[in-house]
Amino acid sequence: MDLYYKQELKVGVIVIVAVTVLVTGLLWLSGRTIGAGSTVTVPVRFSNVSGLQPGDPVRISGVKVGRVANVVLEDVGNVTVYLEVSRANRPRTDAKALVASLDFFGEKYVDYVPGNASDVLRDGQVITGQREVAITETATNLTSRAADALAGVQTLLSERTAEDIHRTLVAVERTLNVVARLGEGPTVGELRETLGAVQRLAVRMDSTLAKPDIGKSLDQVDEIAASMKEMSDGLGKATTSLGSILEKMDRGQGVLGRAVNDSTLHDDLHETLVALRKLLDDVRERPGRYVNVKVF
Amino acid sequence: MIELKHISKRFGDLVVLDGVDFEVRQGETVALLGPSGVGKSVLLKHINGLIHPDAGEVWVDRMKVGALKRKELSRLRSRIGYVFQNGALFDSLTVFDNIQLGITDEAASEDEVYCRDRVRQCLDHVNLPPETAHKYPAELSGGMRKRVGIARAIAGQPTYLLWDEPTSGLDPVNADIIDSLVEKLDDELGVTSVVVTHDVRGAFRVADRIALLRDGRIRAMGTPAELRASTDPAVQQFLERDLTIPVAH
Amino acid sequence: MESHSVTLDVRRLVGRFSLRSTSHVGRVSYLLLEMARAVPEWRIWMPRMFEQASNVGYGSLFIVGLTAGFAGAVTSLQAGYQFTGSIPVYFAAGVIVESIILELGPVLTALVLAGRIGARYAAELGTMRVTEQIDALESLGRSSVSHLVLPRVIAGTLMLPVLVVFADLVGIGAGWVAAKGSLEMTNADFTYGAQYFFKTWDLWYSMIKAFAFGLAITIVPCYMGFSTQQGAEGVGRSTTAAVVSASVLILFLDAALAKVLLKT
Repeated sequence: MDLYYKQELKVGVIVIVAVTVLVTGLLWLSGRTIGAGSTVTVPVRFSNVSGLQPGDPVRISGVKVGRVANVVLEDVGNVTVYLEVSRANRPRTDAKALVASLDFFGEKYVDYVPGNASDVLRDGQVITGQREVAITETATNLTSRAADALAGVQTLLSERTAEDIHRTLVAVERTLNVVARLGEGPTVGELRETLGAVQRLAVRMDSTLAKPDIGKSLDQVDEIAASMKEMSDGLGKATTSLGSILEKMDRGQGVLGRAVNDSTLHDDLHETLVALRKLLDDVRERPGRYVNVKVF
Repeated sequence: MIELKHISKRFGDLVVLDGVDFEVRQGETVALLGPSGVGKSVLLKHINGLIHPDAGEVWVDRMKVGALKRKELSRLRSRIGYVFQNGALFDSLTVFDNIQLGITDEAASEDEVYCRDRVRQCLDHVNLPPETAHKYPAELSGGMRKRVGIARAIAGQPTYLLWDEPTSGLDPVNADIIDSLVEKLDDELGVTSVVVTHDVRGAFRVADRIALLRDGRIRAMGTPAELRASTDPAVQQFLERDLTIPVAH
Repeated sequence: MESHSVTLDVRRLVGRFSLRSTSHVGRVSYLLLEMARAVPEWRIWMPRMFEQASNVGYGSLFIVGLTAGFAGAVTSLQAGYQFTGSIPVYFAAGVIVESIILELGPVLTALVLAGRIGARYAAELGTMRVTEQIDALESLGRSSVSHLVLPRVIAGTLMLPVLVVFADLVGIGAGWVAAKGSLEMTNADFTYGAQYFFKTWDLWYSMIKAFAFGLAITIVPCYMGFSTQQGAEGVGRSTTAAVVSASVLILFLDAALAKVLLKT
């Protein structure tokens, strides 16, 4: 009897081993664990997912908690993304999700916030996802102003310029907060002044660009071009001044020099400078181009 | 009753059979004589439908072989034992398994006890000891392999036996043993036989009637005595060489 | 003079070639039809199938593992050679895993098996044909397709996906080890990269490929073996033809399946 089934047994063993390896491999490669009940699928509606794909990670505060199970294009500007997250992170009524970039190569992930509300969402309840630009949004009014400005600017300038303004504002805001804690001193005053100037400039740029009827006539284009010129000069001065402050700081002079150990300040300042330079480049280059295009 | 009506067969440009008419009556043993490569085996394979004719009809037991359905053809074939030239044993199987495959009745082939008995019986018919059953074809001599082939052909208790060169490639002693086996089996089992051979001596020994195949046609057909008395020079030329030696019986 | 006119007669050459190809197609189709008809006779092909399957499966494990192992290690080393500087190291893991699952695992396994079992099937059936064993089987009222062809085809088609799973496992394992050695990749990097680029469909695609290759490397050699003519030389000829045409068919199917199944 046992001899009679020898071949069948051998074939059975190899097939079972293969199926086990296949299933294990599938689970491992797709980053899932056995026990389907421990996860919950959350549908999120986005207007644009920027190339998000099934299998991309879902993160809460940068920690991977699940994966994108499926991406379904329902309609133009209406994409439903199914997130697979552990049951412990099931969405509450104030849950949020947004598509963000992971790295230099444009790989995407979903930044997911399950929320703090006491009520848990029903299974299958759709969350409305946010766009990446709107996410970095913090509650401060300066940055929210910037966000408002962005909407207007987008029609005129490239998204990149808009983002540059936005980033500059955020960086300046943050740096000012740090500087405020430093007390008095010549360099501190200088820095405070410069940053104030930058802030005013940026805000003004916002309001110029945010005019709804902007670009309607050649006159207005001229006006914009002129004010852009002015602003870019101001930005140029601020950049130089900030550069020299940073240099002093690196040499360890004054209150700021002592504060070098507070690496937040240094980094923030540095970031502000980089953002400013980029904005300057953009502002110098783009409106001119815009005007030319409009005229001819 | 086997009837071949005007069979023609060609392979590419080579015409092998060109209108062969041939008939085998119930219970008789017919020898099909002819020089090598004249298409004797081809003719034999027409009888159980291994080869289909280009033209003409083959009838066995009043059934037209070419028109049979798969099941019917399979049933017909199980009534026709075919002894292949070199035994054509399945070399991956033991002698026992080879002969067991010859038990064509489905119910019988599932009955282990019957199979064991039948295999032993068939080995006995062909004068092989029962121990042979556990050997592989490669371990057997040419003569033994032929005998196992015969045992396999008779295992399904066929009503017809087709012999393809049963004595070719054997030394005279073994050839004689096989010839007497043909005779013995034809008598004991009462089967209708067609023996294809180029061995004139053997043909005259075992056959009730002899047909001479030449140039794709039956050149002559008759009892051994009639054939010997034939005045056809082609027949005489073919018979002469061997018949000068006295026939054993 | 006459031989000249024959060699130059293109029409005749083309005609003969197309006649021969068409008749091949016809006979393969007939064989497929016979196989479909023989499927209900499972009592006959099943036991023989298990015998063939265990032979194909266990007999090929070593060579398949060896091939896949080297393929995985070499892919890993070459990925390391090409991915320098700014490309993150986990990319190499994705390349290793994906190329083994999508291409190297199924194709190399199928090509190895085309040589191993394709040649074997063609030679076995070819020998059985020229020694009249196939005729003998038919003469006993038994179907040569259900006794000889179907067990081999089913065994090969069943075992190829199994062997491909094994090849994928060994290939990825070898690639992993090589990556750790030469690319200074950590286990976490490898896992991250492997999971990052993996899509579930990739593995199914690999299995579909293996299944199709399994059919190709069993049906073609069985057909070649069955249509063997003229003795030992004929067996040699159909064995060669079986391996060559099965290999070509694998490459062709590889391209065709990629086109049909991988819509990006």
